[in-house]
Amino acid sequence: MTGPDALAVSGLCKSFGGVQVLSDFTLTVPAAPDTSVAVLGQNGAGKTTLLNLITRLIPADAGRITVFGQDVLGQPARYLARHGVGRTFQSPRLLLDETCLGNVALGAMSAGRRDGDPAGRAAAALDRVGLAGQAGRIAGTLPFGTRKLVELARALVIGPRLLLLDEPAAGLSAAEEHDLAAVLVALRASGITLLLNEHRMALVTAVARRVVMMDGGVIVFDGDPAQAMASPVVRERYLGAGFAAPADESGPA
Amino acid sequence: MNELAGAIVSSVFLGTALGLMALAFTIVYTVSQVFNFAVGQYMILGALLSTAVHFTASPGVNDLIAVVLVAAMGSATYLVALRWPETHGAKPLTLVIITFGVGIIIEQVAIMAWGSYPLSEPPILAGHFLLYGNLVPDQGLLLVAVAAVVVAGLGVAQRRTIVGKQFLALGANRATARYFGLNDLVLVTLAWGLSGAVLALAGTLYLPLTGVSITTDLSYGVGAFAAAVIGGLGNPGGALVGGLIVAFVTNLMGVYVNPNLTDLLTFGLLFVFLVFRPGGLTGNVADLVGPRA
Amino acid sequence: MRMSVPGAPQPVLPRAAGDGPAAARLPGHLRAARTDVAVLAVFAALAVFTALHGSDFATTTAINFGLFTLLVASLQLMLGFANQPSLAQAAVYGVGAYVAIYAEAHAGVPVPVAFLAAAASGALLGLLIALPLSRLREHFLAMGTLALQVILSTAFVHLTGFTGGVNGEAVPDSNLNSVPVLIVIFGCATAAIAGLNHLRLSRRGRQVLAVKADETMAASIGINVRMLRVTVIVVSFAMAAGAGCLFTETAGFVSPDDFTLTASLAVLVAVILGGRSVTWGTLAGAAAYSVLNAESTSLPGLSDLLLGIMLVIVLGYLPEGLTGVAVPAAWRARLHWPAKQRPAKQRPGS
Repeated sequence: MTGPDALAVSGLCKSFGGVQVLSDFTLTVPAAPDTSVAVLGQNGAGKTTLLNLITRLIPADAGRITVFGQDVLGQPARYLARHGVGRTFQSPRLLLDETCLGNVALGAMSAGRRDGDPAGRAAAALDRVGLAGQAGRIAGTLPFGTRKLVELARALVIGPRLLLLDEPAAGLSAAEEHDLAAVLVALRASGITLLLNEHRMALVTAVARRVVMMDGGVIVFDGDPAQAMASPVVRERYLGAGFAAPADESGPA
Repeated sequence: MNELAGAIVSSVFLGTALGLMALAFTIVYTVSQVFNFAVGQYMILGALLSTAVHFTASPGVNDLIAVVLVAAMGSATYLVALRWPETHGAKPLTLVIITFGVGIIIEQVAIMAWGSYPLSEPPILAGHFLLYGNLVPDQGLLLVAVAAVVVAGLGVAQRRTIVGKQFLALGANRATARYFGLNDLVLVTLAWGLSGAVLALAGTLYLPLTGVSITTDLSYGVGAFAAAVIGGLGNPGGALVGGLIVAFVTNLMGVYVNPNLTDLLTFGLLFVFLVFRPGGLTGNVADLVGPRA
Repeated sequence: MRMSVPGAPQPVLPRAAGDGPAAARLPGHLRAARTDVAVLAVFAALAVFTALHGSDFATTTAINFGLFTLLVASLQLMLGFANQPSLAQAAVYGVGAYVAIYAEAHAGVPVPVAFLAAAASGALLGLLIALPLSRLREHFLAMGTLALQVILSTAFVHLTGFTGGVNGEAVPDSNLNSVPVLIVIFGCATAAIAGLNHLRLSRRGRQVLAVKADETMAASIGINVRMLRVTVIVVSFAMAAGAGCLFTETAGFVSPDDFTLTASLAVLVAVILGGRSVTWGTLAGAAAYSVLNAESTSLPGLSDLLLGIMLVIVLGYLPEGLTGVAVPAAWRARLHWPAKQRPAKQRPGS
């Protein structure tokens, strides 16, 4: 094992009112090159809650979360972005009156590092997701899929070691999803650990090396994508009996 | 001992009145997440309508008329001053400040109509009884009894009746409640009317004990807000408890230390709770704290 | 079929046509400087006109306009940048005034030092309110400013040793109605507006505006929301208090009547009427406040009622201020004004 785990969640509990969403949830993602984990689960299984807990947007009831060895539950929300953890939302949260460059540059300015040229770093991040030509466009005028890429660029501009993506393919067309898969695979190859909540099995197959499934507040499956799609537990509780594996063009890279 | 007993009795009455006002505040807050900053003015308006406008010869009937009028005014306030802004993207805090403006309007119109001189109001129950050397007015007992019935009744209604649950649903998530078919226009208007009725009830029953003057509106208003926060925002039983706490603290301070400082003390009490225990005694903190940063 | 590119971070999608490297710059402060020059020109023109006119009335009006610009700018900062209404600007203005008088009359300090003392006292009040209440919803901070206004109003009347009570306090060595003072005040007003103008483009300013737009998102990208909120309030109060010091240099006499809740509400109404433009909205707001102020001294009885009515109408139905009603959408785009924030019609809660 080389160094502390990228993400170590243990005994995490969270309930909303009377509903127990996470009960004694445990997940460990080692810090190894080329790592990406997809989290499957029905709506309401707690996938977004998990991300919100890790990024400290909501308080946890109990448990422990460390990111690269640093405890996170005692920290405020701004700690994550300032310590190498980037995050995207299910529905992109951008400043719609601002340009793409402005949105991404804001991420560069806010992550605590005072080294200069946020605009240059923003341009580079936009380039990395393939939006170099869109830097001057107003975010509010962009289609949904492009906005998601802008948000991804904003998460990238801080130079993250861990990326938490909440349903990155939701709302994307087939072509956009394909482009996104290529971007994510390249990010993974460049050394960033990926954790993504996702429903689209094509993206999962292309991007993820490891798949976990959440049900009833705990993990009920942990394996690779091929095993996931064949697993009776996953098929019964999530994919459905009639599920057919998507024909993949690129395969797990 | 006699003085202490007297102070305790007056605190109970004041606390009950504040508790009713806090309850009215809570009704509107539960349904629409809006603080009604005009509660003081509505309460006093109720008393003024009963006292200064001699509709009939009977104080009881006048009180009832005043309650109905103020209830109508509460609904009208929502429809005229808040409904359009709310449906056109106004933020909740903006709506709160609008209610503040409504309070000012009521206050100024009342001054123009009836002046700022204290008026006296005949109570419904005119008797007294003796307690530790203090003459305790029967009207006060009436106030407490009515308040107990109202609090209990509304508590039950909130949990057991359809309308009560609809109120809660609207407050929790307005958009979703509407998708499920709730008519938010009717329900919120109803809530404001109910709130106005409770405020007028507090005014018409309590103010005969102390005298009615429009100039005290802000004092009562702040006291009611403090009571609502201390008791836990959104909690009807807590409203009454909060009212008693505020009344006891400020009244006893006023009797034994310095009567001019009661307003300051109310703010101070509120401040202490907001800083150290924003959820109040029984309430839910999540409502009051913003996203963690 | 697309090929994924392993290894070093490289663009994996073809570049779309568009402005390439030229787009890698954020709008600069130089462009904003054009607006600064325009504002300076407005004040310079006003100063010249006043000097030529020569009457006391013109000078007083001009001086008031400058002071009101500072007062309105302080609330524009809090409301426009941090979405935080304040009901205490007039009281803080008063604190600055009384602190300045005390410093000059009793401690004998020169005016610039008194100015700093006044601004510092405003900043301190800001800290007092903002630090404890900033983690709660903005409703409570607004309540806190209301409490501050009420408490200070009472204090102004009762702390007679410090403030001279209801009878007020005479200002030592005040230069009533003199053009040099006017120039100083106009200079401060221009600086304040320019400051706000450039704040929008600065790193901190962008972060503050991001917090205003989406607080959760701001926290998730690393912004310290609470600290920014506190800072905005502190600076806003410092500005208002500093303006109060300048007020004492021109008024012969101050009394608690100058710093009432009504006055604070009028500032709020004026800021909203003026509109959300940082430069022209502030100036329009100052003009609106001048009108409200003049009206209140001539019709004292009706002014509170009028203010209540205006509060309801302006906040509820004119959130964009006068510019929202008077300026059609096409012109707004031409003038690079931000789009209307409130959509035409939507259901509550959505």
